[in-house]
Amino acid sequence: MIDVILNTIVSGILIGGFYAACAIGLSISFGMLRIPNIAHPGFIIAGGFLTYYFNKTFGLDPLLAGLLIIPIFFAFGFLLYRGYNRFFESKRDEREGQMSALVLFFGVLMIIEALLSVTFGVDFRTVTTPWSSIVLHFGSVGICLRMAVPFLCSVLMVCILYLYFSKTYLGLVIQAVAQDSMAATLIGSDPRFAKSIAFGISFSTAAYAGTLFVCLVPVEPSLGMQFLGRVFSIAILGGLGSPLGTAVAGLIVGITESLTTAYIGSSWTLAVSFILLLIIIAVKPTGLFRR
Amino acid sequence: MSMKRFGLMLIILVVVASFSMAGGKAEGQEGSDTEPIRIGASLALTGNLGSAGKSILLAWQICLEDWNAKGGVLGRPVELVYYDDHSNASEVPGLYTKLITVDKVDFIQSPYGTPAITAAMPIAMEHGMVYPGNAALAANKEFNYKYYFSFWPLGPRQVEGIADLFFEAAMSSGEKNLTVAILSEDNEYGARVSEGALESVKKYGLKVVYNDRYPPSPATVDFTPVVRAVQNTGADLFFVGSFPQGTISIIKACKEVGYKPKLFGGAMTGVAYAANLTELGPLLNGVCACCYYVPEPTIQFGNVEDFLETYQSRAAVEGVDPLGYYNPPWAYSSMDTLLKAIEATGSLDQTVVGDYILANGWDSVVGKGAWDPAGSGEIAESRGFLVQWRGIESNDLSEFMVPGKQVIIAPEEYQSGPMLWPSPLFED
Repeated sequence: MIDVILNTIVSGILIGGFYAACAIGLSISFGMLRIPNIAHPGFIIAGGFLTYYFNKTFGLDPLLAGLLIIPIFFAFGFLLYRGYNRFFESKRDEREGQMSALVLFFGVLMIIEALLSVTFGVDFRTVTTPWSSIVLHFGSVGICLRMAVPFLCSVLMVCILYLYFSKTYLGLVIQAVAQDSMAATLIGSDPRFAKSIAFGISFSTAAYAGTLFVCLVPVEPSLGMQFLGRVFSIAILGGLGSPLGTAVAGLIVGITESLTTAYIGSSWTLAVSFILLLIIIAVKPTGLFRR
Repeated sequence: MSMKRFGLMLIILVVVASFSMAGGKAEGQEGSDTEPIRIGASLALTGNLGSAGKSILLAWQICLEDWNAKGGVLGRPVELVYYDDHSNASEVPGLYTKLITVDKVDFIQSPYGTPAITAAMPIAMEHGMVYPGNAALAANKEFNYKYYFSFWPLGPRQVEGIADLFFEAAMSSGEKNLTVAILSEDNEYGARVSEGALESVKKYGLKVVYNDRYPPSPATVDFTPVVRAVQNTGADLFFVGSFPQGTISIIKACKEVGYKPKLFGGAMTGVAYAANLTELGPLLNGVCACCYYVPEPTIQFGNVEDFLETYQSRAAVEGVDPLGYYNPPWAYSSMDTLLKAIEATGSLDQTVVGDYILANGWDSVVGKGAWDPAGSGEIAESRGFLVQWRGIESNDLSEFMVPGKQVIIAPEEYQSGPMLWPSPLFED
């Protein structure tokens, strides 16, 4: 009995870490930049497909392939923000800007899906590595590397982002711009540059989350649209703009889903997760870690 | 924000959404010297069922090309009008209403899969259209529509058919007091699979120790908790009704948690697609699933091999499932039977064509046969069989194109080898 509980909780922790990796970029773009980038899950899937491409074409380990695509996504995010700022954000007040962003990124999400379908087809794609099927046993607890490696990568990603935003000069500037863009300008920072960097980082996390995704389960082009609700809910639950909060929210959702599946029934998994989300949001509307 | 700007954004949103809704391609919209006969359908060309939808589309296109090369039907060319339903059954009724009332197609073909086919059934009935079905599990059970013709090889016992094959094979082991776990995807297909499995289990006097459904992809990312819950029951037989992503993930999860039931599989869709076969490779060893074509010597259905040769040469170029073992032969037959009926009756009248198909049965690359006399719209005799994979040593596609690796273990008439019991799951 204890064995089953332990294994179930471990599964929840592992999948929760992966959820955090998926949601953390959205937390940055929505929480810090106030850009509701609903195309974020689409970029995650795009990251998964590019990883698949590098793995199949050049035989690269997916984790290495993921590192290679990060600069591409960073540059794309950086430039996309410049374009967004030039044509949308700077011409509208915040509320209008968010409305524009919803429309813009909804379109981007569908363009990504169409491009992936045309380029890679609509079959499910995944990568299998020599470590994918290895299961490590710690007493009665079995941990499959297919789950554990994405979890560890997610933890690393959260730690790096946490340190970056709290300890580096540029990270602190981004936080300052997120809090009060005008005041940040007065002390000599360039909000547009800071936001471009933050958006690039957000896209980079999407790229690597995609890498982890394609290591975990098969992906197909439309998964981004279908994954939208879960990614948003975890980002909101954790408190927008908080890497640590997103990680905790991911773990809560992962463990809840896992325990629900094991002890209530897998058909209740989503319902229980969203009930939990509603309760936490009702008690703390800003999410777990948002000040 | 001014009303004008808000209105502009709303228009952009609607336009973008419209592209999404009708993202497919409508062929044959333009007229020609001789008015074409137009066949309309929606298909899952994107989304989680896109692989199946695209392979069906290719089969239909090959069929239409064959007919047009012979001079068409009733001396007129035949054209296809189709839309992408994004594997989303809720989009299907709207698309079929558009096909019938706006595009004014002459005939329709069903979309792919139980949820979508069921969703379009009321539209077909309302307009009295002949409705050839492409891969649904007992879609006509509640409707009893006279002109629904299911081109799916399970026969009248649709709901119990796959489960019967699976549990019959388990019973043939001679082992007593076997316990059963049933797990299926939480959609129309999964519901019917579960229902059928429960009926079948009752018939064979087996004991169910687990019965649940999981939320459809991508809501369930990690299947290890659910598989561990099944493992905890100690079920001897693990019967699964899953869509492709679930199929792959459940097989991997079983391997990872070390769960080796004596028989595992059943109604796992997607195992016939090349992408999934090559993804799973040796992990398929010992798994049993219902299939409709494998290159085994006991399978002699019509001209399937000839069709597959054409299909495979085209599929490689068009980036569609390169094997075509699952839907394509039946999809070709579905279109071919409809066109033969139009040609034979010399009529475009739905009732005349429908009555002809009802009376004359089906006759195409998958062979020929009659319809269920009880009026279910299913073929009279089942053509499904249970395959047990064995001896798969790599993830290369060629492993699945030779006899002896996908051995038919039930029913007896198609059996190409003995069942390995207990299943040597995941063994190289």
